[in-house]
Amino acid sequence: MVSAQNSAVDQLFAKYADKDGFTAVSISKGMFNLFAGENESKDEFSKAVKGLESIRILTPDETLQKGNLNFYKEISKNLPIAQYEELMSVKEKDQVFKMLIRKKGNVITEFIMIGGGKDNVLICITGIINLKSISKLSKAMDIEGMENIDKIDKN
Amino acid sequence: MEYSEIEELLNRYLEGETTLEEEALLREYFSHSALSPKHLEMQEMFRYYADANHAAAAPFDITDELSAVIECEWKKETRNRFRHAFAWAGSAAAVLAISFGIYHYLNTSEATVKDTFKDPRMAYLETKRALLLVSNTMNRNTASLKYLAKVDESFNHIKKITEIDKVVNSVKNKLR
Repeated sequence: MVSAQNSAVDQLFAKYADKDGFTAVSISKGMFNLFAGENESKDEFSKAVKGLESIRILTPDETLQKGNLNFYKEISKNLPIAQYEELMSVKEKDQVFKMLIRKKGNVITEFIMIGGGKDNVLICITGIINLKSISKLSKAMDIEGMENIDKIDKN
Repeated sequence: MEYSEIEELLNRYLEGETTLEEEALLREYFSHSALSPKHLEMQEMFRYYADANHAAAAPFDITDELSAVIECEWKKETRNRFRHAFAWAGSAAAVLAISFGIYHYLNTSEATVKDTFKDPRMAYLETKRALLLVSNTMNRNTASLKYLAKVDESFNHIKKITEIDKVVNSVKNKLR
């Protein structure tokens, strides 16, 4: 069911995974389950990870980033963007971020973030995606991190 | 040959004391037709053995018999072994078929993503990094109205967080 939806992204990853100068990383549900047990299920990270099927990350290496590679254009050329709903778009002087989602009913089943410009990255997440948790993550991490630093001092 | 000689040879033959040559002499004697009537009975016996082409007299060879038995047993044994082998092959095939079925089932239901990391900790860090990048970007969109945060900063930020996380986790593990 998911694989049929993903075919465009699958092809994209297959295309770049073996190319020189690109790093492709995949993490599956099995791994999430493995490390989800390590934390208390209350924290924001566990919430964000819960329900995910897979995360895939594609990044060009630094040598390519310094060149004239326009990663954003390169990726969007190969993606059927019309099939996605645009969640968010960030445009800055020398950086573009675009977030695309696909829904099934009210559930977000696919999330894609493309970063182009100074930082080039493609992140693709599948499963049942809790965007609220993910959005809260950066703040929650800061706080948790600080709390834990305090603990270290006390110990 | 003289009659008395024959008589003596016969006696020794019946006692089992004759040599092979003497036996050949006897056989030779009994193959002739002109015999004293006393020896007719003996002649019949000699003729019988000669007609039977020594088959009946063929010595009972224990080694032949044994090897036949052994061969027979060995055949049975190998047949059994094959039967075992087939049983093994059968169960192995069944296990393969079932596991392939399960693999196929899991594969179709969980998409075709192969894990890059074998170490869950690495996968954990990478997941955290990716989700934080997404999270930061999401939050940056609103923040970017106030100030243009530099991308490098946010990336360094993520690095710091993962560093902190490492430390925290190692401490946690030690405490356990």
